[in-house]
Amino acid sequence: MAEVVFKNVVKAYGNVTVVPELNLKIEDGRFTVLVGPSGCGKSTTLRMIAGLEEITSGELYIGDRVVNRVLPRDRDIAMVFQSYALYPHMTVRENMSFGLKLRKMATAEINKRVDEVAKMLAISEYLDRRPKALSGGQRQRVAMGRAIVRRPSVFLFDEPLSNLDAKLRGEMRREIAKLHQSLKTTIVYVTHDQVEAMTLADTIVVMEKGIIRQMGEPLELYGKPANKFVAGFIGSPTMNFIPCSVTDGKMSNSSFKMKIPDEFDTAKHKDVILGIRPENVEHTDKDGDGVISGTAEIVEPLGAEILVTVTTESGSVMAGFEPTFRVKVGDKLKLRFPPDKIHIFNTETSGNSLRRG
Amino acid sequence: MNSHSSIRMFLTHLFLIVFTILTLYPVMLVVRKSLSPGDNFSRSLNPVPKELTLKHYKDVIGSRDSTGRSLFGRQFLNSLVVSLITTIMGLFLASTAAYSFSRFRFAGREIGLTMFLVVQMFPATLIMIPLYVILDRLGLLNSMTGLVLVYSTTAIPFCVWMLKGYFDTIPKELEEAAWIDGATRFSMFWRVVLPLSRPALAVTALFSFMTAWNEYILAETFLNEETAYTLPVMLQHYVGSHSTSWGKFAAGSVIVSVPIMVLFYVLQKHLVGGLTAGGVKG
Amino acid sequence: MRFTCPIPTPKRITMAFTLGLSALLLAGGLFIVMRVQNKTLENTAIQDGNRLLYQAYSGKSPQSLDLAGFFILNTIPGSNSKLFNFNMISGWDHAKPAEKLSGKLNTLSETSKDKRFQALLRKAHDAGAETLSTGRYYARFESRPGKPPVLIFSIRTSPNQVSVVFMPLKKRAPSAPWLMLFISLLATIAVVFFVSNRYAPIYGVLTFACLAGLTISAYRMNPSGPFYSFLTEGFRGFGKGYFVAGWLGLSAITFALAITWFTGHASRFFRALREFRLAYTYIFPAMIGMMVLVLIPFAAGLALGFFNHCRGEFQFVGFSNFIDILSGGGSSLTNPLNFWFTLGVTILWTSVNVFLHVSIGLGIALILKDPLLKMKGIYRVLLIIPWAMPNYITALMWKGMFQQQYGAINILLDNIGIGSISWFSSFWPAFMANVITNTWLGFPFMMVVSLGALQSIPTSLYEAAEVDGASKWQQFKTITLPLLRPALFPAIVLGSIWTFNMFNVIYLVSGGEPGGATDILITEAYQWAFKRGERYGLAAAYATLIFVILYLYTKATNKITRAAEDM
Repeated sequence: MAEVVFKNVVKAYGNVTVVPELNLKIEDGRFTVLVGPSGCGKSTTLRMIAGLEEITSGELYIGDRVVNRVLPRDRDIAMVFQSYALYPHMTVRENMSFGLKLRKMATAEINKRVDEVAKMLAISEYLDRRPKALSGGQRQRVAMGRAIVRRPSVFLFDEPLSNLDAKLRGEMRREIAKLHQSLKTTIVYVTHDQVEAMTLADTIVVMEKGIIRQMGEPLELYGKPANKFVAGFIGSPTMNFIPCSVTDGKMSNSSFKMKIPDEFDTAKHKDVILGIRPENVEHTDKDGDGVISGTAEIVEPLGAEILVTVTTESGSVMAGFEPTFRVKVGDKLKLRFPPDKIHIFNTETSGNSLRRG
Repeated sequence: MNSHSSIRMFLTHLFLIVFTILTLYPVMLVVRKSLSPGDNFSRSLNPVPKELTLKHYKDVIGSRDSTGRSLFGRQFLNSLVVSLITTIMGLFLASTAAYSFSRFRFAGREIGLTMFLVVQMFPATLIMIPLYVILDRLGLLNSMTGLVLVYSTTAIPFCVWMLKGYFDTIPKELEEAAWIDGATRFSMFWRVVLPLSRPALAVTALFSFMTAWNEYILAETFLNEETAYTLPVMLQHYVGSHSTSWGKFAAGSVIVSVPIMVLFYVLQKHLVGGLTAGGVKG
Repeated sequence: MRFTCPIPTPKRITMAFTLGLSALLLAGGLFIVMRVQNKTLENTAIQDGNRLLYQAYSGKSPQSLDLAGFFILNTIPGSNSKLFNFNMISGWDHAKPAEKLSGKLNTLSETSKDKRFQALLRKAHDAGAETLSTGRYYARFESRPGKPPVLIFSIRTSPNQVSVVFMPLKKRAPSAPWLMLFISLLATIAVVFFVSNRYAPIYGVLTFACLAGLTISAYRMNPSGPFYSFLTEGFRGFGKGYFVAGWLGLSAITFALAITWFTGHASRFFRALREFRLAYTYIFPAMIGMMVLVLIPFAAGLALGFFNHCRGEFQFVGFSNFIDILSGGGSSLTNPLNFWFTLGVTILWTSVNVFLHVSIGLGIALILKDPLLKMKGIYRVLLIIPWAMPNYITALMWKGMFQQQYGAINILLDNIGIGSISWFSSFWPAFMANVITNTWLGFPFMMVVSLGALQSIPTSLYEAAEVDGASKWQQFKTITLPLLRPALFPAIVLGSIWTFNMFNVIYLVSGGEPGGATDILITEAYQWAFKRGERYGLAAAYATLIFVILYLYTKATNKITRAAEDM
């Protein structure tokens, strides 16, 4: 068990800086998910923890040890790869015991551990098969089993579920969550899928271009995104953004006007961006503050809810309504943005939230 | 199967059988020659010999030098030892070099790769003169060691390219996983990459073996003691300019070809995959 | 240590590496040429000694010359001993010496049971045979591991008598300085490999040690002083001039290194060495082998093109060999000795062969691919046989097939009433005979490659085409061919290089008949080197041209490197 700390860590390939000045503390025993679009440096960050990428400058601690120059095998970590990276020429048992064998552990002890873990992951009956003879989900379990038998103090997962189909992905997600509950080991998990991040994480770290945009518990990120990037990245379907200008405590554009709630400090800004999640958009009959009208363009009934894309003069707005709501393409609709559910961001590149405090 | 496609199958088989017989006919004639008595040619086209005799085989296998030691045994052993050591050396040299080319981006990599490609274009027959001087200088003329060194190095460029192509298809994650599992660089190579490359290694081994087993110009040049000859040199001498023992030549050809044929047969299912880098699936 | 990181290598490092490599190559090449030149000096020495000995032999008792062995061989009248002539060796049939020669060899050999001495005797025997067959004197040194070399020579002393003399040189040749130099250089590199920058002085010390070693070994060569001409003492090793030149060259390199050291280039170079020491360690064994046994001969071969060889003498002649070749050597375009004629034949040869290999190989592969076809494995195994057969056997076998009287092909032609053809007396039949042979041994390779490539084309594509209503031919044209290209292309390029240099078939089947017309460039070069008066320089120039042509060809065929990298 150990925490992982990045102190001013920089990663550059020649002249190209991939991660500039990373400061991050991954707490002991927590399930931390690094999430972001591809190329955001999350995988590089994970691989730096693993020791697969050299650190250009700064210090990386695992526990209280600086591990910049420590070989992966001495870092007390285990990693699960996106492609599973199971050795095709070894049986499942050999795959799982490879690391222990290299560490010169006694055979009896190795077998005991492998059997234990295999039982836990329900792969006991496949122990003598080659990875080729296994299904995707089973391979995934073996890959995890190979990490677990090592009993490392940090588990690293690199997009482990992206090669599975949707149904298996949900299943394995729950499996991983269960695993963390029983092992209570530090887990660092990289994914580009925000659903995985939301469901699994104790702490989510959202990254963009090598920079941490926000870090916190899932619901905190969902409820109080620190910037437009995080707001857009977390939550599905994506948050709607509507550019407005600020005058006298109100924000408005040609088709829409709304009083700015007190939690937001827009004093220094002329233009802002209003953000509202589709599931928070309400349907109304009357005009008024925070109401925008438009025409239903696309209707997607999902069963549990119905998604309507409405074309307004301020652009498309997506709204999620209860399934009983009746609407068809071409209908005129009035949408209301509840003041306690909106977000306001500045228009600069940082897109920071203007929420006070 | 309907009648249309069974006619088509029949025609296909007919064509293939005729083509195969045509292809193998010259070989059959050689076999006939080796089993017929005398060194004269017959004017018959029948590939089945009229008279069967193993005399030529006995002559070839029973050949002795002036002091009465068995020459064939010596030469067969020479060929075998040279070919086997060449194979092992070639595999070792080519696989390490190919691994390096495949996995590292080091200074000089491009130059090295191009060089390994380009040297195949230089006519080997003409490297012979300087090579002769070098071997002479190193005291390696007339020796197995010299021949093995020459063969394994001439086989390397092709083998390196082939193995590199195969190594490239092995996902890097496997080695990373092994590294995290606690493997050293060498054990990654030895316990992960090499076992996965068995088909390519088999084909490479076959080619190295063939290079050594079939080569005669260099052997002819560098060896001048009968006891040091390899089989191809011995064979060549049966039809050299001062004697033409076609029967012995034919028998010898069969003897020399059989081991290679057997190897080809054993490894043929790897040939396809090994040549066109199949890679690791699953 | 770390995993492969795509750190771009600064251009300068690559340059330094290239320069180093080429310097090494150049040095190696020069060395070989010098060796050859030394040989020629040896030859003159032998000629002098020869004359003396001959005089002495005809007048005085040979024992007075301190000979280790001496015997006379007589030819058997009427025997027609023609020997396989490969310049350096004489392939003399030891099994039946009595058929060719008789003499006192047996009595002499019985007196010594020493195996090495016996071997030496056989060599002497060879010398006698050589003289017998050529009528020329024969002289050469035999090196013996751990013992002084032996001088063997033979002279025809009467129409059917040959005398063979051999004597060991009294002094053992000293160990060559270049070996020490080479070892020190390796050691230097190895040390720099594994120490960090701070220990750079070690590098300096080692370079110094390397130079000192050179000096010491130079002194060791000569007990009486450094400026001693090596040639008067022994016949092996450097001459004074070369030694001085080597010294100067090495100093220049060291000096250049020192300068780059200060400007930082060298340290960066060595840092790159250290950074990728694993990569270099893995390549090292193969590289050394390649260096000594492929690249240095290669460089020497290139260098040799600028020399003219005549009776053991090498003369630097600049580009005259190349000019001679490219101008056609004064012969007309239709003369088989004209380079352009041969080049035309070679290109025709290569393209016809490659076309046949690919079309037959691909055709058979397409037939064998049929999913309904049974016994595929058997056909495949049988059809691979031509590839598995050693190709010199194939060539000789086909030569037999084309034999005018007893060859199977002529008998067949006779039987069907066409009448036999004299295959090797005019150009086209001879050319065809070569092509048939080479096609026979070449198509299986293309077949196997095509089979592999065909397997990788997903059947769903054909199904899609079928649904779209494409005919079989259209499917072949629009799916099979384009998708085969990536796998087939490198194979074709490789195949054409192999065919371009296919020595065995041409040499053994047609042998260039009629009159060298069917010779391709490589056999032509070989003829110049070994059949038409040992014109090594001209042959090497030919080889260089072959190399240049092939190099341009691969460059032209659309970045072969990348294609081959995909293979």
